[in-house]
Amino acid sequence: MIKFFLWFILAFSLHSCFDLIEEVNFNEDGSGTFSYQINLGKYKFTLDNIMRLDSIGKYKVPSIDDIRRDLIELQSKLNKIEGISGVKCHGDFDYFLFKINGSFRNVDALNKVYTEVYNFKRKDRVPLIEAYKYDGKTYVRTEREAKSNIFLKNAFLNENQFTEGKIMIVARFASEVVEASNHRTVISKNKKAILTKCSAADLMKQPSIINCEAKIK
Amino acid sequence: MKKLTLALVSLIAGLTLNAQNLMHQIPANSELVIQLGLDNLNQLYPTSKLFKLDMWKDAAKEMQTSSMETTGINFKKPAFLSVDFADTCSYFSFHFEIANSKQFYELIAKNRRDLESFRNYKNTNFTLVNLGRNQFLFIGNDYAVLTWAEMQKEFSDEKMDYFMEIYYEELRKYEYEYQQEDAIQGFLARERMVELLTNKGRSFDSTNCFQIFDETHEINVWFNQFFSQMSNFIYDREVLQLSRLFSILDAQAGFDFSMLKGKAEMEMRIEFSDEMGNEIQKMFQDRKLNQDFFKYIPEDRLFVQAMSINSGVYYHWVKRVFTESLGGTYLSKETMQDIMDLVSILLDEEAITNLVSGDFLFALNKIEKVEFEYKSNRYNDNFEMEEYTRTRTVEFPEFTMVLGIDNMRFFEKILSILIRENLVKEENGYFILPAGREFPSGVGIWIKEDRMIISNDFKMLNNLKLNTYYNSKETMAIKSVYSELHIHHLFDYLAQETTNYYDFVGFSFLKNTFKDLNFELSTDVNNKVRGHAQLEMMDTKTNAYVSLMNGLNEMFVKMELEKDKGKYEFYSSRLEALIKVYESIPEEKKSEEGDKLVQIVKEAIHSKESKDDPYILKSLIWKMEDAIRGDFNQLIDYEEK
Repeated sequence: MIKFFLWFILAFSLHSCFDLIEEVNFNEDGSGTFSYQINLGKYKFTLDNIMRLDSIGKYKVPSIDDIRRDLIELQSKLNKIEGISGVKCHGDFDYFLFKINGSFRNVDALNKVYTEVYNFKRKDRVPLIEAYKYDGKTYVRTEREAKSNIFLKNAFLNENQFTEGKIMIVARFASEVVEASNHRTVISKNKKAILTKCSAADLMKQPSIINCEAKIK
Repeated sequence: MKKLTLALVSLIAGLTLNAQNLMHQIPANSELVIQLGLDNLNQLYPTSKLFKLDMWKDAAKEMQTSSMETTGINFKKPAFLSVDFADTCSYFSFHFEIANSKQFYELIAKNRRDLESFRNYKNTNFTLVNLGRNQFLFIGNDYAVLTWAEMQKEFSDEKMDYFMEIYYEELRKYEYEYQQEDAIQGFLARERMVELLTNKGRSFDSTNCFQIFDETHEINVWFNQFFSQMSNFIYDREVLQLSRLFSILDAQAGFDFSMLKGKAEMEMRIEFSDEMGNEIQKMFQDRKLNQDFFKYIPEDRLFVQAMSINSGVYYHWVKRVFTESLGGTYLSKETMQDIMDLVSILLDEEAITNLVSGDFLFALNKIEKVEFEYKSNRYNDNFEMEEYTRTRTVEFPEFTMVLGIDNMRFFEKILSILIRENLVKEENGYFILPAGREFPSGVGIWIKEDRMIISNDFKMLNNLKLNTYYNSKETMAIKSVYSELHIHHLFDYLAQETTNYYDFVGFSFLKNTFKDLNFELSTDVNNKVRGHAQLEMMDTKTNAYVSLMNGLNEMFVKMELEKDKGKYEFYSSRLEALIKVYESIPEEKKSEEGDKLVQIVKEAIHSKESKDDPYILKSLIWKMEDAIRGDFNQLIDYEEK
């Protein structure tokens, strides 16, 4: 999921400052709602100017219509997943704010949503990604370790360009959280939510930085 | 009429003769000499008035003098500062004449109660006064020389122990090593001056640079092989490439500054070595600025650099600069020469001459500010999300560059490659380069017949196909090189932007004192480079020297004497302006925390605490700016809380 968004940003603007917010709410029975949001609003002025172009080098600059079509296509694909309902993919082009939200029946369906978004518009589709695990007592959020440092691999990417971007990952539960394994993860005051925060640059270098296991009462 | 002419001739002759009398004391190997026309300056702003300014008041009081006339210094004759960048030390000396020895000795005695003086020091007929660890004053019958020195690092490392031994007796009174090292520098300056005063060698007025400019106005500056000698100084500070670049700029130069009503003027002449002089002469020969280029830039621009040069000769010169400055650093000079020769096979001087005309203009129009809104999110303590609107300001320089071209096909081919690779897009008759972090507006390229324009002034670019241009004022510049800096505009912008009181006072001084700076450069038939600069003052009715002194005094008062009052006025006015901005924000975009902050700020502005300690207000400025941007109480930063 996060990788999809990152490549979306790269294809869109080559470099950027952006916020990415992932929210998952679990009910007691394991069902719940999800929301993925990418916010490029801080970069609005530059993006407006980039959108005047058709392409930048080998990267095609998507038009507003292109993005709308893609969002509709993604929405349709996600709604077809068994155990998933009410998915809406929305793009606000005044603020460059993009949202995907919907409901899931269980964590397997949620993983299918994650995998579908990851594979969207990719030629080399990957099998099911187990990004989430939830059994009512334990919640696990996993991102696969990067094969190599993206900034070393791609000379045109500069780490400093991504330090402003914030990644926020929130999970909310019906019961209280006892502990969270990642030192970056904070438990809310009412103990029913956890929040993991890092910069986009950190996540791109080492996706596993957000990995977390939370024990639930 | 005859009497008046005679009086004027006598005065000018007198000034010149006087200047030359003292100039005899300055050695020919000085690299930099500054002549201060004390009499001229005193006539423009008498020291009896100048010493009443707050800036000088304390110093005058300490010196127990009301004007320079009572110091014993001869104000009718100029004073000289000379600098000699030797391989061992940089030597400094300040030479001035004495009209009344008794008054002058009294002045020294009053100011140096621990006066240590040596009459007829080393049989020089001079009295030597130690004015501190590293400064010595030689007082003769009718003039005095203040001297000091700074050792070059390499020389200091090598010889310090040796000097510690030979000056052992004199150094005993200094407790710390740094004091002893300071004192040694003074001793070296002292010994050099003794040599100069007893063995009269070739004087500075026999050098070429003095000959190329011997006019006497308020201030004169002479450079005698200054740049090449500076190369030693720079080399000592381990900037090798720059040092080598300076070493090839072997030149004599003279600068003559005149303080006039509403403006200051500078005439400059530079004489390079024969080889470089010929190159520069060829570079600028028969060249005149392309006035038509000015129609692409607005009148109220911040900075302009325009030039018209022989591009082939300039290219040759640039290659030489590269060879000299980089050769011997990363690569040997021979290898660098080989590389430059290989480059010449691909692109030689003739090709460059056929490619570009040598006409060039660069302008910084303004610093563009674009403010826009965007959505952001924040979390409360239970990690419930709230969406809110924030504002962000993007600032970037708006610039225009115009390049005269002779071979349009070459540039068209380059553009066709860029188009093929989707790196530019054609729109409104020009090509757009994508926006980037440095230029979020993107950059446009317009190319037609004899010129190429690269700019992010899209208003100008869009008007080109309509043949609509700026109302360009014809510049007076007809020379080869022309620069223009709108000091008032630039520092007005910076003064509005800063939240630092001292920066604000400094920027305000510059914007309130100076208006524009123009500079022109050309060559004459004798291969001399001639330059003319004009600094226009904001006050057009007062002499530039008077405006400058009054401006400096005002800055001194704000920075020193009334700094607390000034800080309070500055920070409170900034806050009041920010409150107005906050209050103009629509209600739905305000926050409860922001409203509370405004109340706190209003109370703080009128509180006694903030008048006593205005820095309290400074921190509130940042908070108010956050509140206006919508950043106030960023709960999203929960982790840091």
